[in-house]
Amino acid sequence: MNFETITAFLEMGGYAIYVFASYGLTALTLGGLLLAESRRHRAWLRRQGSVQRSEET
Amino acid sequence: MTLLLRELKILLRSPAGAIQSLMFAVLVIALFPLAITPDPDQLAPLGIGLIWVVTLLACLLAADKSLASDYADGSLEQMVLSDYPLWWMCLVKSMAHWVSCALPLLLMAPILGAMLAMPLDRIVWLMASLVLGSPILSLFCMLGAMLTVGLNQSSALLPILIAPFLVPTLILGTQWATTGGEAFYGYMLAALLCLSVVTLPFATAVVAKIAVSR
Amino acid sequence: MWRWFHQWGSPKFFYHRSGALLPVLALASVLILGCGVVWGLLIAPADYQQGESVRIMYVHVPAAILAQSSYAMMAIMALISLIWRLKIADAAVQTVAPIGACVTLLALATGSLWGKPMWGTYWVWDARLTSTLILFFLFAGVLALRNAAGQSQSAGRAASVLAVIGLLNLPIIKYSVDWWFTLHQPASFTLTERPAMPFSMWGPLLMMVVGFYAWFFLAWLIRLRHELVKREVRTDWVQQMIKQ
Repeated sequence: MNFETITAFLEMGGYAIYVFASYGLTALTLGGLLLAESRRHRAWLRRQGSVQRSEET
Repeated sequence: MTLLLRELKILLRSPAGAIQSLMFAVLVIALFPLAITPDPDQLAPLGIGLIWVVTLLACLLAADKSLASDYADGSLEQMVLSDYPLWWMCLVKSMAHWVSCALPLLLMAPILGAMLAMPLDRIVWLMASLVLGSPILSLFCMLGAMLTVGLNQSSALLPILIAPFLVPTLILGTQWATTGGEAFYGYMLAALLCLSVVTLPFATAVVAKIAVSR
Repeated sequence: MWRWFHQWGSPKFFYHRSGALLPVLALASVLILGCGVVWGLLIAPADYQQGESVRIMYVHVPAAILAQSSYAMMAIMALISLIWRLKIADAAVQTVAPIGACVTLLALATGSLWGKPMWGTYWVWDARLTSTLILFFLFAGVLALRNAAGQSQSAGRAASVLAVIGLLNLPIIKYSVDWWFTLHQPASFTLTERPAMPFSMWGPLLMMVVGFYAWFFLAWLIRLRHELVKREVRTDWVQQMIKQ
């Protein structure tokens, strides 16, 4: 373990903003893209499902 | 050969395009001293870069017009469907673009250089770099024009597509001129020109076939 | 061999078979990225020169590597779609472009966040940053052409040609930017080129690279499957799938 205490970890040797900003941005990009994709797919399936039902009736 | 004559005749009959890109270049170059400083000592070092960028932009802006009329009146489709070598047509089109757009700028370079207070030897190297570099610009512009022909907003789209490809030409051309003709950059620029001449017309021909099927 | 190729080229076969890959990729990317982040943020040592800010490397370098290789993958898919006219390859080109553009932006953003403590400014016209920026413009070009030309087959082919030409030009662009950079500023301090990194540093870096790749293929696959069913919406198999 590199850090002795939690505060030392949060301080990141004075570079906290940059380090956590870049990790946060990465998490946002990676997670956000996946979330957006799967939500779009599910919404599309639901919409097509209702189209199909309305065509049958 | 007849194709080349045809293109040149069209250009001679309507020199509006050439005048337009010239005016554009003179205007933009006139804006820089107004925006930055009239001080010759500060303007002179910027000269080569500014004139290169203006040439690049003028070529990009004029590119979509060079195919638009051919596409509209169907002669582009005729040429693709005929058994005429398509790469030659693309090369001729690039040459016509160069004559109408880059050549006037090249001839105007001494005046543009004088506007930016450039010393004479700088202007000479600038013109030499434009001679080697601007045909590459025209070849790429023709590729871009073929990619976007028939699309709406093609004039806005074309610079986005093609500008990244012009980066090496811009770098080598300006480096060659600013270093006062350092051989390495000259050779590299010449090599890039040769490579572009033998490959890009064929790439443009492939794109032309796609363009008429749109 | 050819039969295998054709099977995977059919959207229906691909959709049904690739479904099984999704949970595997999802689990792999969560696990590997999770371990990599813990290793990189907590366990890996600080750099004697850059201090704790070196931890940005564990997200920046994988993003930069992925940005370049996703362009290469896009161009290879484009070449396949041009030569064999596989529908699925064309869909792959279209779906990988936005992901690649996002990853390239991420590499740029983390690069400038790393540059601020190291160089003192967010942006330096460093050779690596500059060529990454141009890479982003190349992605943007393919995306813009695709958007302007619509969904037709010829639009896909035009975008594919652009992608392939971009790949061929990439080395020329990279070398010219390098020459330009060395002329203006002799390479003094680059962020990532360092003499022999110890295992305690390249270990987490390698892990993050693998994790980024797993995530990338997951995102690509989800997007590709969505695109495929959207294109094939009038066929029986999609209609049956929607019913369920």
